[in-house]
Amino acid sequence: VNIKGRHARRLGAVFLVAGVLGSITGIALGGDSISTDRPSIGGWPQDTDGDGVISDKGDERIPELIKAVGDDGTEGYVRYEDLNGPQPSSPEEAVKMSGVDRAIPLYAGDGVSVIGTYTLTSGGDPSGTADATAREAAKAEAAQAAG
Amino acid sequence: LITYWQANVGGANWCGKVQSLIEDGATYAPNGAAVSSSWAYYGANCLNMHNVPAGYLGAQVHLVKSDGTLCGSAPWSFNGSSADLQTSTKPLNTSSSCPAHAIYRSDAHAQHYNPDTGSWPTSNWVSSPQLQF
Repeated sequence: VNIKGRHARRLGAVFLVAGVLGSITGIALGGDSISTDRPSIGGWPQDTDGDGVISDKGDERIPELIKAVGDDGTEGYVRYEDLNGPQPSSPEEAVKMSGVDRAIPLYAGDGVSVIGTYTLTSGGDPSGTADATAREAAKAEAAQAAG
Repeated sequence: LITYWQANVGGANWCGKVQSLIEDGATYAPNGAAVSSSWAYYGANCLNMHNVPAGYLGAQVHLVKSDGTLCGSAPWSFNGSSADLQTSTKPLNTSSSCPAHAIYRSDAHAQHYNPDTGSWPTSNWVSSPQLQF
């Protein structure tokens, strides 16, 4: 009985160690790992030191999940990485990406359930210089096409 | 009412500015000035970016409610010339969660391509004073 008891305790210890290791490995290999450098959830930071700049350091750290209002008015959270979007590989690719609308998921507070979309999009302000430049370019193109 | 907002970066020291288009001369925070149908500039803070090659600059801007909720974002804008860069303009898209009478601020930051490393170092976020839409 003693031998069986010792064996059972050893097996239990093995399962315990395996379980703990498995959990750690599972967390480490999780696809949506939460950065330990950032608060996991919260609002866009305030300018706590009043220097007119959000430094993304210390008390001004941008959270991983940021409070946001979705396209249909739903309140939720967007991921920091989604908000930043993909990095262009070159200046040429950057120019192609410029001003292009991009819809990202809006999450519930669990950071998993998708409850809507948040679209990074431009307006069509008639007095905006950027838009005016685009309009001039379009006009020139149209004039050229017209011969 | 302020109806549109955007940011721009440029100048000799690559300073960043956040600006808003005010349509009807409404008074706005914090200095109480009234401007009619023109762009009002806020937050002229420098981005500490140096030796930016022409045409390699990008900027992004968010509209943030006073409680830290994002109420709108314009996509990254990149310039393809040596000119200063303005982000795309963005209209205020009101909802019950982002009402027109709320206090906001607009935060913008920039990045530039470093051809030596192939990386895109980013600046701090320039934060405007409070905006009363």
